Order: sequence, then structure tokens, then C-alpha cells
Amino acid sequence: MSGRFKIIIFKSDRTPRYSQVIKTVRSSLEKLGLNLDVEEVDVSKNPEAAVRSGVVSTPTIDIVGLNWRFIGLPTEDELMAILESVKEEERRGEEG
Amino acid sequence: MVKRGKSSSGFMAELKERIIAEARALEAPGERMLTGIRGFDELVRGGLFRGATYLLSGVSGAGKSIFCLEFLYRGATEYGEPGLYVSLEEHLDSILRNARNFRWNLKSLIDQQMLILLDLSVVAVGEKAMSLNTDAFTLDGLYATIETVVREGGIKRVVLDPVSVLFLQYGNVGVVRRELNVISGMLKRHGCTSIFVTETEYGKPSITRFGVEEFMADGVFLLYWEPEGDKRSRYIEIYKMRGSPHYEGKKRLAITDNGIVILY
Repeated sequence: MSGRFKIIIFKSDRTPRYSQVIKTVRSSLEKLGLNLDVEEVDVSKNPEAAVRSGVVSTPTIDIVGLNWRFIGLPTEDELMAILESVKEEERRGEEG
Repeated sequence: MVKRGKSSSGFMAELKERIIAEARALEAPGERMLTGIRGFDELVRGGLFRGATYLLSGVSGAGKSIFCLEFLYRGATEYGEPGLYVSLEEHLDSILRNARNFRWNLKSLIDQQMLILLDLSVVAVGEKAMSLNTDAFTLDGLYATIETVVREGGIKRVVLDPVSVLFLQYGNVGVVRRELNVISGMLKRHGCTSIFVTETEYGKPSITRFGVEEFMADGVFLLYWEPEGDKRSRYIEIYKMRGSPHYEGKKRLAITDNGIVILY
């Protein structure tokens, strides 16, 4: 499990197509062979997390360590393109 | 033996009573609160209704942010009402820089927690790179943030500046309108009087940018910044004020070193 990078998914009890969000994230990680922590934060139950993170809408997906935020549901291709950078960074880290 | 509930005629009578009571509550004049902006409360015949949501619309430069800051400043300093300013576009340091042009000590109000400034502009959120895919979403992050601050800070006055940026960013006008109605309802439940700001484009005759913002508000105030010869002048118009008579027509507005004054 990588320590530097992780994924946080902000949701609420009304977030539309949430199962699709989770499916896209899991499938992208699996296809890239990445083993990142995936944390789900429900802003309806934990509103302080929304305040701290400046989350306006749900779903929001943060790639922690890469400083990247997806607002709304990305396509698998879009998500994989960004996660490729995580993979590249991890590879460099292992080499260096 | 089957225990029967109310008879259908009893149920209908009770329903009728409830409908009449709700209609009366809607008609009943609510409690007013003064904005403290010089000359404005007279235009709306005694201030805004507590718990209501108002829309402030105008072109860039018309004085919308100053109007809102003063609404919060007067609330905190003259009426002891804590205020929340949510910036959805402009950086807060730029708003605070603007405020230095006036004799308002916002820093002291912030220190006393009588004024809370929240920067939720897209570029401000951790300076992250972004990707927007907004065909299906809620504004529950904004809802949760505002409700938390309102509840913990005992907030009575709220400004969202500008909501038009949400319509631009999220594209789906219907969903944004629905979500802002949900937020407006929450603010009403907390007894907050709110101003949602929307920006119009120069030279366009519409009251609001997307033509839907006005339908979610209890009142609509228009600010103008009109060319007159080689200068420009500012005006204000009360376009709609649900439940109250109001001044009809435009009034000249000046921005002084102590805030806004409605003139003639």
C-alpha cells in the first residue's frame, strides 16, 4: 500500500450514481495495478470534512499526493490518465 | 376487531385546517431586520424579512460585493448579528483589500467571530488542478460547509457571492437551481437572512445571467453601473420584494468611504 498517495471520495446521502463512482475508481486502480488507499467521506455525516477540504459538490474525488481534484464523475479513461502519473511517480520513487 | 382511525370526513376537515393554517403563515408578515445600509431599508419599507433569501444582481463594478460586505458589517457592528461571507469566485485577500477603502475594521470582527469569511473559489481550494465532469452532482459540500458554520457560529446573515459562477461551472442550470433552493431552505430553517449574488453581462437586458436565479428568491435587487456622458453612475432598483410594498423605480447610489448611500 502506497503511503504518499491516496484517494479520497467525498459523497453525501444524495450523491447521484455513487456506485458508478466507486466502480470507476476501483476498476482504474485494478487496471493500472495500483494499490492505493481509498477513503470514502460522507459530508452529510461528517460536514467538518467538507469545511476542511473546501468541497462544494459531491461526488468529488481527490488524488492526495498529486494535488488533483475531480469534481463530478470522471470517465475511466480520464481517471486512468491521472493515475498513470501516480504510477510514474511511484516508479521514480522506487528507483531513486 | 379492526380499530378504525379518523373518519374520512374528520381527516378532510383536519387537512383543510392545516392547509388554511399554512396559507395564513405564508401570508403573515414576518419579522423585519434592518440592513443598516443608509437609505436602503426605506426603499423596502422597513428592512428585509428575517429568514428570507434575496438576490442581488448587477454587472461587474456595480457595487454588489460592497453592498454585501456592508450588509454583514452593519449586522455585526450595529445589530450584534454574526455574518458569513462565502466567496465562490474572488479570493478573500482581494475582498479584504477592497474593504480597506472603507472605515471598516473587518479584522477586528473576524477576531471576535462576528464575521466569518470562507473562500470556496475553485482556484482557492488548495490550488489543486481540477477536472470538471458535472452531469450528475449535488452541492452537498457547500450545504454541509454553510450549515456547519451557521450552526457553530450562530450566524444570522449569509452572503453567497456569486451564485452565477455555480451555473457557469456546473452547466446544468436546473440542478444548480434545485440545489440552491435546498441551501436556501436550510438557511431559512436556521433563521438566516441571505443574499445570493448574481452577475449580469454588460449590455444584456436580462435581470439575471441565467434567467432562473430570480425564481428562487423572496426579493430581487438590481444594481446598475450606467454610462452617463464620459462617466458612469450607480443605481439601485427593488425589482421584487415578496410580502411588502417597495419603492418602484431606480434610485441613485453612491459609494463613500463609509459604505453605500442611497441618494435620490
